[in-house]
Amino acid sequence: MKKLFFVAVLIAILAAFFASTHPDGLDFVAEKFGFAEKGQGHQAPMPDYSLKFLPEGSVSTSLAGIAGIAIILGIFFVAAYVLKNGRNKSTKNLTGIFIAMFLCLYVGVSHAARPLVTDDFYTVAPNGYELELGYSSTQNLASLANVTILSLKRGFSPNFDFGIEVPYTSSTPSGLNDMLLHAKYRFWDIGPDEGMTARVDFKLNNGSLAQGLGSGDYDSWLMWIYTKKFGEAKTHINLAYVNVGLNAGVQYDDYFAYTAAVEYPMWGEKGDIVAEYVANNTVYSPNPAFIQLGARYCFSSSFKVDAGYSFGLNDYTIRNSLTAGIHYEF
Amino acid sequence: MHIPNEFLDPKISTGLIGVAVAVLGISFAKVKEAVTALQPAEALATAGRNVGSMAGRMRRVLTGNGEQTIYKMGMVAALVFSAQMFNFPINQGTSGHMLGGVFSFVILGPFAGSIVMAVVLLVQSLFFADGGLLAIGANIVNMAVVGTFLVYYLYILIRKVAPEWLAIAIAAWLSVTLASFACSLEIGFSGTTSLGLVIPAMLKIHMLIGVAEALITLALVNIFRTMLKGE
Repeated sequence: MKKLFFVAVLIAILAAFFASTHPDGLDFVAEKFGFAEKGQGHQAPMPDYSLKFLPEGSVSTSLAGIAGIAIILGIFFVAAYVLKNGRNKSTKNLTGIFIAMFLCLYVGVSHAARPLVTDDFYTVAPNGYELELGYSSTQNLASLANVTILSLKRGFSPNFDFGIEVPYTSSTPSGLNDMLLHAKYRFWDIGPDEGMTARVDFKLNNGSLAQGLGSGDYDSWLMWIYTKKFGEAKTHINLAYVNVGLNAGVQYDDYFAYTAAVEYPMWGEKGDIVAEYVANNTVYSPNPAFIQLGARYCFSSSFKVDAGYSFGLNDYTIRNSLTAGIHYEF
Repeated sequence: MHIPNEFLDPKISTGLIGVAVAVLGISFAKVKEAVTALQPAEALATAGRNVGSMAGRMRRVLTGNGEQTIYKMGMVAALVFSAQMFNFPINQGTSGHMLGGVFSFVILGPFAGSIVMAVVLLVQSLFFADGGLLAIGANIVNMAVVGTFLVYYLYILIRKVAPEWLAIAIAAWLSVTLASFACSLEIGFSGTTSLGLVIPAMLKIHMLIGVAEALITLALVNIFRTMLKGE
């Protein structure tokens, strides 16, 4: 049966090179009676069977065709796998990965927000709210953690917002993790897309230390955020000084956390691809660091869907993590 | 024959999504029944699978043949997808492409065949902007329900009096012609243009495309059967 895969690929490639470019039956009729212009078509990752990052032509079309074949086969393979194995952890994860991949592909965000960890210099509009809901599945060195994070921010003045973040772990041990309160003050507007913001975070210690859900101490963060636009791409740099609180009588060292992120509007106003580097200089050596790649899709300027994949650069951080979520402003 | 959103009245689009969901629901149930078998949950527990509280009850499990059927569905879907990319010239600046409904039901039967067609249409609409998202119901009704499901029953009737190859060819021609008829009814009733204009224009072109559909379907069925011989 595998041979048929190559037949399908071959037909797609032949189609890309030799197919007629004349309008098909329906388009021809639509042109004839003058309603062809009505059909606008919608936003999609590969409109008219072409890849956006390649020049229009047969190569782009044949690659898009192969991508389509892979997507279709993927759907049926995942269906077979899920039916075969019933509902268990690995089928759930596979379905999750498939949905996240789908979001990555189909879909993409306009300024730094989920899935990035790096923050941007923008603050929420006065009296406006920003709601973010994210789910992430993270493979650490020894354990798997599935965490849902709800974050709500409110703008109080044109350059000040305040927010709360509630993470909940659904894998075992399950329960609330340490909550986070943060306040952002945008102190320097250099341009519409360039400026600096100061952010102060307080991490509470409501998560159970015994169960490994919390760190057992109150931490405070002082963060400096700088955003600058280079051409179409927006870059953000975060530098934070973290004061670690007392943990069961033990004093840990304070440390710096630093992140850098790039956002590129791959699909214009409709969506971005994002990449970031996150690291800190805690006592571990080498210092924990990871890279995240992701995409966002904007259904409107206020509603965005996102997905991201992160991989750790050494053993003191996450191994692999997949995240997907929504961002809503009101 | 993929209709964009704007050609249709939203009421018609939504209604047809309902029709599509209903027919696909039946197909899904039938296919699931065909690819799985009832087994006591304990049998699964000994195989090391997670059955939770299902002990003592019967559960549907995918059979070996069922798994092959799903892979075969994937292959048919991939072939239909790539065949639909291949536009061939018809006449005076028009082109047509294969529909694939008859090919899928000859290989897989009407239920799995209509699911395969619906998956192809869904991927085309979501990833390639070929056919509107709201119009997905209309496109599924035209190509997966009329062009596959309905034509299967006509094929059964024709098969009683004609040899297989002829029945496949006639069914393939009918599937394109009937799908284009359904398509023109939807566009006509949406008020995009008048029924009297769109029906003859659509039928005229698609009766020609249907001839090509018949030839390609015979070729693809032949390729598929030859390559799967002995598997």
